[in-house]
Amino acid sequence: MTCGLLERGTIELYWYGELSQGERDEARRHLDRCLECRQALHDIEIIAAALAERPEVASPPGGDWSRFMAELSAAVAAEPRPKRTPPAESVTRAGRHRLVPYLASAALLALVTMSVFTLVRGRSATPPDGFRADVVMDVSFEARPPSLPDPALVSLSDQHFQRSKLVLLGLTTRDTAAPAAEDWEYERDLAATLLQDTRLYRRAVEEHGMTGLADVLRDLEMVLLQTSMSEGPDRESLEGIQRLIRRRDLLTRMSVVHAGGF
Amino acid sequence: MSDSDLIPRAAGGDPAAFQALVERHRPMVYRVAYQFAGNHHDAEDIAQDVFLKVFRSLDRFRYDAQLTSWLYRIVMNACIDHRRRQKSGGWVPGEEAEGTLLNMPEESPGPEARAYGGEIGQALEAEIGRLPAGQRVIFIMRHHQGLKLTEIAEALGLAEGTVKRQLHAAVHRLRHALTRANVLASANGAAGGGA
Ligand SMILES: [Zn+2]
Repeated sequence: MTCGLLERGTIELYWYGELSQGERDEARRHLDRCLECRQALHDIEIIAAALAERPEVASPPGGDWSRFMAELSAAVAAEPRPKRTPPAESVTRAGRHRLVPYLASAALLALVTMSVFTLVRGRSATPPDGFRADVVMDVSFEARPPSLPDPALVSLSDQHFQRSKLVLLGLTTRDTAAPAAEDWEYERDLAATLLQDTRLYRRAVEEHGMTGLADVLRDLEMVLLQTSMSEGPDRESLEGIQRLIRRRDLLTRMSVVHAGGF
Repeated sequence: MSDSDLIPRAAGGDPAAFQALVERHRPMVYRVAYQFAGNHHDAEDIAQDVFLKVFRSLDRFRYDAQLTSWLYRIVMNACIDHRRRQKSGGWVPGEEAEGTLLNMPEESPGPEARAYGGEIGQALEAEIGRLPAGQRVIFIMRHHQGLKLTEIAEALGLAEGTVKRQLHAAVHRLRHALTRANVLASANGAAGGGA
């Protein structure tokens, strides 16, 4: 049987000092005669003591804020200027179609990355009055002309692409006859992480009508998905993944896109 | 320069002013985010979100309000949002299976977290990580920030009764988890019910 007072949370409130004077006196009297509540109070004290030892971590590892600040300024740069919240349609369509044909690939990537950022951020935020993720995204065209790719952005998407290629290379060179289990978990986790980003890039790219790049990213997504969902490096799934990479000529296509200025 | 000097400048598009604001408040934001998330990866995500939201709503900041309490509110909501986002994933093929895969492996605690607290600390850390987002935020706010239940209720836009119940649920859950893990004294003596 659980004591009713305990069930109602009174003991916690007592401990937290959230009871009125009268309730407090009553709880104290109750504690004197109820072992269960005394034990609960004791448990809470132990928990609180352990929590007090929880480390205070107030910065990224090593106190290095540089990456954090770079990402933040990239995200902020992709935002519409505060105060001006332009209406949706006008900026959107006109902006996209006017710009796309003129994009050099490096700038294009920066653009895509910015959109990805805003997609991510747009999804994450409960948008403040009237903001919509897609509006925010398209406004980013206006916020930063595509001729000026942010170096931080380019290097981020470049990293993503390089890491994806490494995973693919690792997968294609694995021996299907004797697949080793050691690195599989790492590879699978990495694939799962990359998958998320790839999907966002792909969406942004599609959004801007870049079908060639979107195709490459879609295939990459498929490989990463299969990898991330494989239980282990068994021969069958590994062969399946390798076939997929070969059939889609994925590595070559990635290199071509990449050499184009990623 | 004070916050109230920096905010209008940042709202007017001065990047240096915004950066100064971020630099001033990032330790607090990060600390809360880390307390909530228990790892750097998610803490950074949350902190990014917070400052982006700050940026977006600079022009709506009420100057009679304290920046720090406004920030607290944003941090708490960002923590809850972050969790919700992790859960919902949100894309098309193979959604469920993949969602599970992507969300399951929570980053293992950093060296800071691993160093603390022995058995109880570890069990506690694991269980805090399993609390539903709302409960976790309320619990963290109460314990680490020392906020009163009324303050939490106000910040989250919840009824005080709801906050009380959530806090109760969180503590209840932690107690039972620790009891199950055999790290609380009452686990040994009171397994069959003490009263
Ligand atoms: Zn009792």
